[in-house]
Parts: sequence; C-alpha cells; structure tokens
Amino acid sequence: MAAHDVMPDIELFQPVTVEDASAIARRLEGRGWVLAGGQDTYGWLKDRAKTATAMIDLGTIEALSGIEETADGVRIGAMTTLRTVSRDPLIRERYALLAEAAGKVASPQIRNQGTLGGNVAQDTRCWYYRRGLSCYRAGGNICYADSPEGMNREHAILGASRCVAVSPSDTGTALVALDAVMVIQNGGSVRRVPAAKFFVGPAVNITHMTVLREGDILTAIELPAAWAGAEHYFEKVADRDVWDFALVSIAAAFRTSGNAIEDARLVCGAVSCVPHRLNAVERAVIGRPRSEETAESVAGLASQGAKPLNFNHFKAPLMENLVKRALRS
Amino acid sequence: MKFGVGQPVPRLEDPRLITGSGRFTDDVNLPDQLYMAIARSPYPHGSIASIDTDAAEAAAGVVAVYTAADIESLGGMPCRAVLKDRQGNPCFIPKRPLLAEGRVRFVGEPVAAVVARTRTEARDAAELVLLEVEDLPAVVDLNAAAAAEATVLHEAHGSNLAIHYENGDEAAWEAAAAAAAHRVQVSLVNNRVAPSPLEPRAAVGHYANGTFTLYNPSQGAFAQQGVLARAIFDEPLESIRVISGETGGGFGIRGEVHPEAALTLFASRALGAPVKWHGDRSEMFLSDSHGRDNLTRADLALDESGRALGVRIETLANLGAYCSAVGPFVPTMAGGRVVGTVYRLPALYHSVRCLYTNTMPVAAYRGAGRPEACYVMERLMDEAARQLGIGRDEIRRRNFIPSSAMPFVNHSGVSISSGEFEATMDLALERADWAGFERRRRRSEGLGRLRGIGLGYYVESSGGGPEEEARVRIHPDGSAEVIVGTYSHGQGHETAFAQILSDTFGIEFDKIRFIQGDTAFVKFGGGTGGSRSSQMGGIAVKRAGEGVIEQGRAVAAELLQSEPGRVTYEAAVYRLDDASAQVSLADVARAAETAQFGGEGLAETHRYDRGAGTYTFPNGAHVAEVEIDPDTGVLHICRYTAVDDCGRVINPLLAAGQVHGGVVQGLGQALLENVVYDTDGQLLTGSFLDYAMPFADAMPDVDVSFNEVLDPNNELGVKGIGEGGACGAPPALVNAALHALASRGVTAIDMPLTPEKLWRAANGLSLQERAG
Ligand SMILES: Cc1cc2nc3c(=O)[nH]c(=O)nc-3n(C[C@H](O)[C@H](O)[C@H](O)COP(=O)(O)OP(=O)(O)OC[C@H]3O[C@@H](n4cnc5c(N)ncnc54)[C@H](O)[C@@H]3O)c2cc1C
Repeated sequence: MAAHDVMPDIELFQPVTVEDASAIARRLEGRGWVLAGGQDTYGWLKDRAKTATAMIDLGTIEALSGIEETADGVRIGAMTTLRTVSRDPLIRERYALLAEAAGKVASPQIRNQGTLGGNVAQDTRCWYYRRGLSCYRAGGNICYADSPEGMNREHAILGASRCVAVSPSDTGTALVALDAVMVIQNGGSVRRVPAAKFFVGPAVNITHMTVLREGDILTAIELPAAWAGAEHYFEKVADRDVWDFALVSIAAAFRTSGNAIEDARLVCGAVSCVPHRLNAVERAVIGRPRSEETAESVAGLASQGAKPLNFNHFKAPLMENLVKRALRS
Repeated sequence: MKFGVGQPVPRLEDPRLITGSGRFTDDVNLPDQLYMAIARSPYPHGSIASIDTDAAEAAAGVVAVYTAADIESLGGMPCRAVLKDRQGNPCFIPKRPLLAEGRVRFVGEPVAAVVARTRTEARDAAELVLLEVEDLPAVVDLNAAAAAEATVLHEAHGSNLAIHYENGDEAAWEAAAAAAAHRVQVSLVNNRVAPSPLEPRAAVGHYANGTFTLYNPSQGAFAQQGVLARAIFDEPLESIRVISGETGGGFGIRGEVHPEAALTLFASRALGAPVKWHGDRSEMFLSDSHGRDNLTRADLALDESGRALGVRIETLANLGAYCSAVGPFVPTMAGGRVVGTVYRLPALYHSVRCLYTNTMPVAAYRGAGRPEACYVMERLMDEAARQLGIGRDEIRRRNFIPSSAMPFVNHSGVSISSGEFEATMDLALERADWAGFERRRRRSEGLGRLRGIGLGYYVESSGGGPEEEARVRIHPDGSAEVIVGTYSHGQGHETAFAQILSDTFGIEFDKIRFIQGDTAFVKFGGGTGGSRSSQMGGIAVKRAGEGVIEQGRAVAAELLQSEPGRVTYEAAVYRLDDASAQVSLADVARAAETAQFGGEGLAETHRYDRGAGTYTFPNGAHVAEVEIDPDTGVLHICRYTAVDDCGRVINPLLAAGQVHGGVVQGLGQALLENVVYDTDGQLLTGSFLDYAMPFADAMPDVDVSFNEVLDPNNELGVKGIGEGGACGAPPALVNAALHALASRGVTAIDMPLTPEKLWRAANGLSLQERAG
C-alpha cells in the first residue's frame, strides 16, 4: 500500500518561455518560488523554515541552458548546471577562473543538479537565519550572530550593517572578477546588470541578497572578451574540501604586459555580504610584476577596514595570505 | 577450504544492500498505519508551566496528542550501569521520562507525541504544541556543572554530580610523583560527537491481539525487548516482539531504546492502528545519543631514563541531562578497565566525575571509553618524549608491558591475556617508513608546508556481556540454519559466521541460512557492541555446530549399525573408520526428524559463557603522517598505517572494512566533528552543514595489516576488530599534527583540528576562538 509520507501540496508551474515564467511569478506575488536546480530551495522546504505553495520550474525553458560564443565573449544560460560550467571546454580555455570556482562548489551531486543562476541567486547560509529565527534578514529586529554570545566564525568582517551574513556563492567571486554581466528579464523587458551590482549588501536591502525582485528571471550571464584567457588564481579555504562553504575564498584575474600587471581583479568570498572586491590591492598592483615582493607589500591592504566579530578574527589575515598566494607568480 | 576462516570472502549481504532490496525499518509500512511526530523542547532548561495541545489536536488529520500526563502508566528509560563510588554510594540515576515531566532539561527533549493520518500532518501539528516554561539557567560547560554554585538539573539530588568514580591508589601516586625525576602534564578535550548512522532512527509500533510488535533499527532485538517489557511497559517478555531488519549503522547508540520507539507502541495500543515514526536528520542531531565529551587532566611521573613511575588521570565526563542506557559506565569502567593502556605503571590513580548538563544524553560510541583512555596515554607519552628528548617510539618501548609479563593484571584487576605491543609497533613503524620521515619533511618544508608524523597505540578490553547463544540446525536437504543473539548492523556477520560454520561442517558456504534480529526466533543474546560478535557469537556458533556434528554421529552410528566411536565426520559425510560404509549429513538430518530418532531433528543450542570479568584485548599501532599549510591551516593526511592485533582474522576483507570505518570515524573526531551547544544550551550543529563529517576526499588510503596474536582463551583465537580504528586514529592524528607544529613552538592542541585552529596554532595566535 502507498505510504502517506508526503510533502505538503505545492502547485507546480512549468512554463516554456521566460515571459510566462515572469508573468506567473508576478501573478502569484509572494506565493510563487522560482525553481532552478533546487539545491538551495529544497533545504529550506525540508527544514520547514520557509514554505512555498507554488513553484515555477525554469527547467522547462530550453532557452535558459547552454553556453555559446557571442560577438563580445561568452554567454552562459542561467540554467546551465555547475558541472557543465566547470567542464565546458570553452569556459575552461577562456575563463578558467570561473570553471575552477564552479568546480569547487559543494559536491559532484550538487553540481550536477545546481545551476549557475541558482548559485548566484542563492540565499545566505547564516545558521541562525537558516534555522528560521526571526532575525533582521527574516524581517525581525535582531541579529543573533552578532550578539555577545553569537557564534559567528563564518560571518562577515566587512560591509556588515545590522546583518552580518555572508554571500555563500563560490561562482559570485569569479563572476565579479571577470566583469560579468547578468541578464535579467521581467515580462518583456530585459536589463543588464554588472555582477558587482547584482549582489547587494544589507545596507541597501537587508532581506534580499541580489537585485532580483518579483517577476525577475535571470536568463544569462555574459563574460566579456576583455578577460578571456587572463591569468588567474582561485582558492577556497574551508573546513572540508567538498560539501562545505568557504571560510574565505579568493578569485583573481590579471592582465599582464611583459612582466607588469596592467589590470587586476581580486575578489574575496565569504568575508562580506557580497563578493568583496579588493579595490586598494587592485590599484596597488598595477604596473608591478606578480612576485613575492609585490605580494608582501600589498597584502596588508586586503583587509583594510575589517571589523571582525568575536569568532572570526582569523578571516582578515587569511584574506591577506590568499592575496599573497594570488600574487605570487 | 575456499570459504573457511581466514579467507577474503566477499560479503554475502552486499548484493542485497547495494541493489536496494534490503529491508530497513522505513521500508516497513503496515495497512492503515498512522504517523507520529514529536514536539520537542526548544528550551535547554525550564520548569514546565503548561503544554497547550489544543491547536495541535484541532489540526487537520490529527488523531491524538500525548504528553507526560497521558502516559503515566509507562516507566522511564532505564540505565543499566551499576556503579558505586569508593564510599559505597550508588551512582545517582534520575528518572528519564519518555516525555518531559515537570521540567525540560535539554533542547530536543520530547515533550509531546502527535499522531496523525500523514507524516506531514503530524509534523505540522507538532509545531502547534505550545510549551511554556519558566526559564532556568542552562548548564552546558562541564566545569560550570561541577561548580558549587551551579544550577542543579535534578533538584532533589542537590548537585549535578552523578558519581565520583575512583580507582587505583592516590597515596601511591603521590609517592611516585614525589620520587620522580620528571613530571609531564596534559590537559585534554575529548570532544562531543554525534554518531550519525547513515539510517536515521525510525520505528513502527503495532499492537494487535495482545502482542506488541516493534520494527526498529537496533544492535540486537533481544535487549530492546527486555527494556520495553520490564522497564517501560511492565508486560511479560513474550508479549513484545522486536524485529530489526537491516540496520544502517549502530556505533553504540542503536544499542539503546530511544523514547520514540516505545511511544509508537503506546500509541498503537491506544489507537488500534500501527503507528510509524521516522526522524529526520536534524532531529537525529537533537535526539540521537551523543558520544565522548570528557575533559581530562593527566600527570605522568617518570624516572631519569623515561620509565613511568605512575600516572594520575582526572576526568570530568558529561552525561548529558539524563543517563543513557549505559551513561556513567562508559567514562568510568568501560574505559577504566584498560586505564593506563599498554604501559607498565607502578602507581595509578584514576578519578572520574560524571556530571549532568543541559545537553542530549551521552551513550556508548565506537570504543566507548577506550578511545578516551588511549588518547590520554598517547598524548602523555608524546609529551614525555618531547620533554625528555627521547624518541617517541623509544619512550613507548621503554614502557610497554612485555609479552613475557602476560597475563598481566592491571590496576583495574583486569588480566591482559596477550599482545606483542613492541613487535606490533615495530611493524607499523616499518610500514609507515618512520625512519625515512626526515627526508619527506624536508621536501614539504621546501614547499612551505609543515610535516609531522604521529603514533597512537591502543588496547581495548572487549567482549561485552559474557554470555551468548547460538542455535544451529541441519535441514534434511543438508543446508544449515543458524540463529544467533549477536546482531550485524553492517559488520557482515552473515558472511563471517557462515565461514565459521562452513569450516566446522565442511559444507558449502551458500547452504547456510542466517537469522538474527527477531525475538520470535532469537530467545537470548547480547547483541552487538564492544567488539564482541566474533568472539562471542562466533564461538557460540562454532560450538553449536560441533554439538550438531556429535548428535549426528550418534544417529549415523545407528544408521551404519556401528558405534559412535567408529564414525568419523568430514565434509558433510559420516564414515565408518574402515571406510566400509557412509551416510551423508543430509541423510542423518532426515533420519533425525523421524520418530525413531526422537523426531527433534538435528539441532543444537549452545550458550557460551566466557566467564565474567574476562575480556579479550584487541590492540594495535596506528601511524598518521600529515602536512599542514601554515597560510590556511588546511591539513592533508599524506599517509596512514594501521597494524592491528585482533587475534585470528576470520575474513581479511571484513576486518579491513572494520579498520577503515573505525579509522575514518576516529579521524573525523580528530579533524572535524564537534557537537556545539552555545552557552545558552542551544544546539548549533543541527545539520550536516554545521556538523562536519569527513568526506572521502579528505581521507587517506589506509594501509591495513594485522599482527595476529591469537587470544589464548577462546578456541578461535579471536579478539575483536570493531573499535580499534576509533581508538588509534585520534592520538595518531593529533600527535602527528603536534609534531608538524613543533617547529612553531606548539605543544598542545585540542580536537577537532579544524583548519582555523591549526592556522592559529601555526601562527602563534591564541587557541581560544574568541577574539584574535
Ligand atoms: C550541502 C550543500 C553544500 C553547498 N556548498 C556550496 C558551496 O560550497 N559553494 C557554493 O557556492 N554553494 C554551495 N551550496 C549551494 C548550492 O551550490 C546552491 O544552492 C546551488 O548552486 C543553487 O542552484 P540551484 O539551481 O539548485 O538553485 P535553486 O535552489 O533552484 O534556487 C536558488 C534560489 O535562486 C533563485 N533562482 C534560481 N535560478 C533563478 C533564475 N534563473 N532567476 C531568478 N531566480 C533564480 C531561486 O528562486 C531560489 O531562491 C551548497 C548547497 C548545499 C545543499
């Protein structure tokens, strides 16, 4: 006999066009949940910390998957899986930084299922928030992580404002470093947002990690030709090498001429609510070689302005160490 | 003999398990079953002001809601530890109710059971149960629990101390310490772990026609039947049948009856329908017994040459909010039997204070007390070697109990019967290329990494309950059936015991049917735990088999019209000694079922009694080699060598599997696993994202080998292999990390060795996590 061990009823929509998906999302308002690979979504449902009564499955919209060359670089459909992104020959050849970052996400199973769009649009992993506590981010008026007793080893040392949660996305840092552009469609209108502006901190909006709003569908991520084939460095430090979020990560891209760095992007993950660009370091390395000496002299700039919490002082020197490694040739 | 003892026979159970046709408890679905969900306390400590179940009762699909007031007829969960302190006072063991009575004492404590038509309805309704409490301060930290001004969990008792266990001779220790040329001290944390079997706990309770039937994962159905019948339901044993199909891992904690199982039976009797409960993973972190959780200070006195004169070991052990089924036994006697482990220690004083705190109860976990005991001695030995400037292998050599001194009676009065500690260590050192380490260290140094190598020697006292029973029957078709009271929850007894019987009878391996885990068939048995199955069940099976052969010989003699003394047995055939006539085992079994031979068939039940107070002593030397990146604190295990003496190896594949599993669990505890309650008593590690289990990628290739020193006290010569890995790995790994960090002036570090902690240590930062 059939067991009754079932999920609560969820209405499932499987649109075949982005316009429809967007229209359904707007019609349902807060009731609808845009579903990509489900690797963030299902956790919320299983933990019963958030519920949805309707799902809008993007899996049926063919136009959202795939990787193609464009006049000005490469375009990755938002529904392309992390596995594909990490294995795709074109990405590996021209944007190896992204391929490496995508290959470090979670575990093979999650990468098989999780999408690039879902990875950048995922919610934060602050354990107080994920437990369903009514914190600032959840509409309440307290931050449990930043209380005297709060356990905040994983939390932000930069850019916090009431909420100290960090952006968990491993691909987010690489996309910011590569000056990626996020293509967002709402109904019939399309807007293009630079990756650095796609992620938003709590000072801007405390309940949203990105600029995505009701009816917005992230359709594609564009990587500009300007950063194709650049030198790069990616490293993610975590308690475990798989199935674990970064404690601190770094995604760096360099354009060099002769020995000298002409342009650089250094972005740290898991230190702030958004992928954190190290502007001061970037400026300081221009014109210098990638070397031990450069590394030593600029690393200190990496954690400027850091305000560690009780348990995450280690993140500042760890950022510096990762910057050094990125700058050694 | 192709499938006999000693052969690497692949596991009989695997085809079933890897093709998904195993039957676990969650696969059991009975017609018209209802679902239960548990409302748990979100508060670590408080007196219950009210439990409002109105909304839950009115919710869709709900059939019943129970709180403590509804189950007054049921007893609490018993603790079977019998302990007295030196003054003769018994250990204080409070009642552990199935549903909280009067007070809640830990986050996750069951408060109400909700039964509904579907699982979702039950869970939705459980969230509507409204518990109001008057908050009491939570006692989480062990030192705080021991303090005179601590809030008391069980008020009537007056303090949080359950028992102060002592062993050895404190005055003798003082004298040894006074005479010592060297004193070495360590202060250690044995971190709390969540055992986390792959299969979350589940139960299906069904009451019909006066009989309770419980399907649930266990480490032996018989023991569960006893607890349910005697302690909880006060019903005759026969009225309760416990069935454990496949069990997805036990590690000690599936040896316990947890409250939910009893509640499904209670609800089924009250509602007249089967009731199913299935916990989810986060619920397991809250409500599956935890393991370890000790703070220990130890002090070793040595003479000029590095020979130990005595040791003092003082431990605070966390019991959690109540006693689990074994509770205070684990940190005291279970480990205490091998206190001082493999070393000659003229003087010893051992003190353990078992304390109640507002946390989930702690139970037996792989090794149960012995890994803790070994960790203390191995850290002491390394620290002594460092301070005295002696090699770490050399200091052990100088202090090992030599085989020539065995049987060796230790300070707990336990007689260590066999072991070649020095030879076993030497084998491990050789396989690990201990001598060639310096070359490898220099290579790592060139890459900017810190390399270290470490040793962990362990000994256990194994066997658990001293009696075990097996019944062997030969069917008329010549096949054998074996029923045994041990219980395989992943170990592979079906294979190992078939090998023993295949050897005994000389019959085909696949003609042996194995039955366990159902009290309708298993009438006695100690289950599996404490590395006891091969040495207890294995011998009971062997002797029952031999008894059957003897019975058969008498029948064969009559059939062959001769004397039993003239009948030989080999490979399923009875023959006259002059080979003039023969009769097969199958024919004899068939004859035995006829009235002429009593009609009972060819069957024998054997109850094996090892003798109370005797044990076997699995032991071994484990060597870990690690590399630490000082920039990030990331540790890489480069090499891992295990040489274990588990007595005779029945099946090298199964034994290696046990070593792998044990080592990985030990490494998990040493590297990552840590149950964290915040200072308010909230559990922070409530999922696999926050509670870091090791993953395959971080685990080394374990080089497994054996030094088979046969146990002198049982005819198979077996000692046990289930727990050694969990004993050897933590000290080997931590000692390796400390060795790697020695160049940075680090002399102490506590498990788990997360990258952050290693990075702090490598960079001279405070090991206190708070503040930089
Ligand atoms: C155990 C575990 C470990 C993990 N470890 C890591 C890690 O190490 N690094 C890391 O970066 N991540 C990690 N993750 C997160 C995981 O990688 C992301 O959850 C996953 O990539 C999300 O992709 P998805 O397609 O499954 O998203 P979904 O769960 O389907 O969606 C996530 C969110 O994004 C929204 N969304 C998705 N696609 C779109 C779109 N096209 N337009 C608009 N909104 C959209 C959804 O509405 C939802 O809110 C881990 C997750 C788990 C469960």
